[in-house]
Formats: sequence, C-alpha cells, structure tokens
Amino acid sequence: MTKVEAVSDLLKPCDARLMRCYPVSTRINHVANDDEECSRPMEQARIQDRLFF
Amino acid sequence: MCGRYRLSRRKQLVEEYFDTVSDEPDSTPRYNIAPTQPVPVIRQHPWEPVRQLSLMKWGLIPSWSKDPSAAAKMISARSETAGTKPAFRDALKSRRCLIPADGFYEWKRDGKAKQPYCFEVNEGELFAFAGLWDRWKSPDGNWIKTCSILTTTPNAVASGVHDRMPVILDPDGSICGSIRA
Repeated sequence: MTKVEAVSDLLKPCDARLMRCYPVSTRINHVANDDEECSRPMEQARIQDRLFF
Repeated sequence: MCGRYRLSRRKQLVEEYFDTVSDEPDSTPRYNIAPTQPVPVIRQHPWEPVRQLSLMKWGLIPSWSKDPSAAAKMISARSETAGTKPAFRDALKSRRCLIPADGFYEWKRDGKAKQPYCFEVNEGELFAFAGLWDRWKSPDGNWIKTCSILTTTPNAVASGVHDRMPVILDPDGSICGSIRA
C-alpha cells in the first residue's frame, strides 16, 4: 500500500455520532460579522417564520 | 462546501491540544473565518518529531500557477479526485496538513432561502480538518503559502444540509501518521 493509499483510508466522513448541527443566524453570510453571535443556535420558530415569508 | 469555519479557541489552547510549536503571534478568537484569509495550519516537521503551526492563506495556489486569482475556488479539494487533479496531486502525496477548527458552517437551500447551520464535533471541542498546502512565488519574489480543505461525502448529520462535508480527522491517534509525508 502506498502512502497516498494509506492516507485515502482516512479521508472518510467523520462518525456522525460525534457530530451535531444546528441552525444559526444569516449574520454568518457577512464576512465582517465575526463574533460569538455567528454560531449561536437560532430558535426554530424564527427559521420557520423566515422560510414562510 | 464549508466556505466558513470557526476557531474560537486561543492560540495557546490550540497549540496544547495539537502539541505544536509556533513562531506566529497570538491570534484572536474567530467565529467567521472566510476564504483568502490567513488561517493557522499544522504541519509535520520534515525530519524532526515536531508539529509546526503557521499561518497560510485559505485557497490553494498551485506552485506552477500563473494566475493566483483561481485560489478563491480552491478552498476545498474533493478527496475522491485530489490524487488525479494537477492542482492537488502532489500536495496529497507530500504536502498534507491539519487545519484546526472548532466548528464549521454549511448552508441548506430551501427554495429561495439559504439557511446556515453550524456543525460541531464532540460538543464544540477542537478538531482538525484534513488539508493540503502549497507555496507559490509571487511576481515580487515573495513565497505565499496557501491551503485547501479536503472534502468527502456527508455523514448522517451533514447530509440533511449539504451534499459534501469536510474531512475531519480522528483526534485520538490518526493525526500524526496522516500528515507525515
């Protein structure tokens, strides 16, 4: 096995059980916004409002 | 994929976590790291058992490139094809790196709207993207080091949001061997 083949074995999706995801504000779209608010979980209700309108 | 990510831990914590050495100045917590910005990258020293942390520009410019403007499109490299793409082939063989992070963002398309999501590993713990790097000599003679994040198919958490996800390396053991050329 070459080194590249050995490395390729590592290039797999991470175990989903170790990961989580949650919606955040669209503030992240703007590069100038770079603070804690960017990764604060967004309330589900607000998302639904936004998608509805 | 993954056009933005987060590294909110201070440099000292990143260095302790990944056991690195660095000459770079201290950095501020970042919540919205974007392409073309300088980002911390960890490389294995070529002959000493040391990992070095240094800053590189996010968006790989191949060493042979005549036009550095293509770098903005080279923020990620598909792991399935990196071994055959001229821009990434050599880097995959001999210029692999870790790109430390503690979160990343993907956008889910829903009709006209695009909803961003934050992804975390181990409840927001530090982790490393698998990356590639290269260096490019600018017309004024300066060497510019650049990097790209390897991507793969999404797992069950990511697939509901986007069709690709970054490769996240197992922080428990495989890191060291994986970046050694």
